[in-house]
Amino acid sequence: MARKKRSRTETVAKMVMENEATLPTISACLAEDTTFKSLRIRLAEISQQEGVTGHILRNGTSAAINLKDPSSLMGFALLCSHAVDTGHEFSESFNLGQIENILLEGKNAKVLCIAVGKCVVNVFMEKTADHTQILDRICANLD
Amino acid sequence: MSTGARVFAVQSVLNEIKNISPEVSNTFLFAVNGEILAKDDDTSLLSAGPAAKAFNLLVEKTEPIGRLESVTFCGSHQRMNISRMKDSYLATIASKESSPRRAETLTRVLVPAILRLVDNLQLATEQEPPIELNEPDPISPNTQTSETQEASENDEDISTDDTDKSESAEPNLNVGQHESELEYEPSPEEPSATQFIIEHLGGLLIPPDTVRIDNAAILQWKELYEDRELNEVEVETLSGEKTRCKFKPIKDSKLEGKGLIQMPQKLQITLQTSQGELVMVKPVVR
Repeated sequence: MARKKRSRTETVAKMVMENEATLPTISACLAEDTTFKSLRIRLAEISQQEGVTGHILRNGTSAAINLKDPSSLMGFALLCSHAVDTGHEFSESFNLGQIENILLEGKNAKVLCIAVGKCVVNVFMEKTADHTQILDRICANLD
Repeated sequence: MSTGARVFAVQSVLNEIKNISPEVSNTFLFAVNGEILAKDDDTSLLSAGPAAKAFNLLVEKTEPIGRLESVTFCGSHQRMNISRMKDSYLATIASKESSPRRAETLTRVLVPAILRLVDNLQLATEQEPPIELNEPDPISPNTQTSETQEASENDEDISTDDTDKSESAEPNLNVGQHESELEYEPSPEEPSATQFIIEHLGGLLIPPDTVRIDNAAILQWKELYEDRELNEVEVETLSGEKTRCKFKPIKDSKLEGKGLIQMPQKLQITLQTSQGELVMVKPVVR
C-alpha cells in the first residue's frame, strides 16, 4: 500500500513540472547568480501553491516571468515598478529605512514585492492567499 | 457639524492612536485627490502632502488588482500602511517591531467608526432645518434655531420667550418638540452591529451559507428582540462588502467570548475577506 502511494506522488510531481515548462518563461540569467537561481527554484514551488497566480523575478541583468495570464504582464510590471519607486519616496520622507517588502491589496488580488539582495521578487496572488507564508518561504535562509 | 469640527474630531482620533500605541510615529488622512484632510501633531504637511500625491499616482496603476484597498511598505526601521476608508486613505507609520495586527485594528476599526459617527452627526444636523421649514410660524428660523440650542441649557430663556409670545401657544410647543428631536433614542427597529474577527470554518458537512457566532451575542440579540424572528445576520466588511446569511452558535466552548465569527470559505470569498479580518455583524430582525 505504501509503495503505491509513493508512485502516485511522483507522477503528480512530474506532471507539475511539465505544466510549468509550458508556461511562458523568459529567462536570460547569469550563470553564477546563486541568489537568483535559488529564488527561481523557490518561486517555482510557490507558483504551485493554491491562490498564487504568478511571479516576476528580476535583478540588474536578468528576469524570470511566470504568469497564469500573460496578457496582464505589462500591467503587473508597471504596478510593481511604481510600487518600488513610491516605497523609496516614502522611505526618504518618513525615514522607513531600506524597503524590504511591499504588499499591495486590491479588491480582487494582491501583490507582494520583496527585495532580496539585488533581486526583486514580485508574487501575484488571489486575495485569500496567505502572503505571510509566501514571504517567509522566499526569505528563509537566503544569503 | 461643520467641516472644521469634523477635521478636529478626526485629528483628535489620530493623536489618540499615537497615545494608545507609542510605536506609531505618524498618522494622516488624505483624500483621493491628494488633499490632506487631517494629520496628527507630529506629521508635517511638507512630508504628508507629497506622499499623498505620490500615492495617488500609484493608485492609478492598480487596475490589474482591482480597486486598491491597502498598501504596506515594510522598511528596515519602520512600516507604513495606507488603508482605504470610503473616499479617503489613512496612512499610519509605525516601528517595524510593532504588531501589525494591533495597528490594523486601531486604524481599520477606530478611525472608520469615528468617521462614521462624525458623518452621522453631520447628517443629523443637516436634516434639522427642513423640519422647521415644514411648520411655518411667525418666528424667523434663525431665532428658532438659536432658541432650540439654548433650550436645554437655559430654562429661564424659554420662560422669557413664553411671556414674549403669549398670544400663541405654538412656539412653546415647537421648543418642546425640538427638544425631543435632539435627544437620541436608539430605535429598537435598528439593530446595532457587533464586531467580530473572522475564523475559517472548514469541513465536509459545513453548510456554506451559515456562520457560527459567539453564543453570548446571540443571547443578547434574543433578549433585545424577544418577540421577533432572528434567523439571519447581515455581515459587513470594513471595506463595505455586505451579505446576509444564516447563523448558529459556535460549538467549541473554548472559542466563546473571544469575539470570533466562524465563516465558511464561500462566504469569505463573497465578502472578499479572509481569516483574521474584522467584520460588523447585525441581526436581521423580522
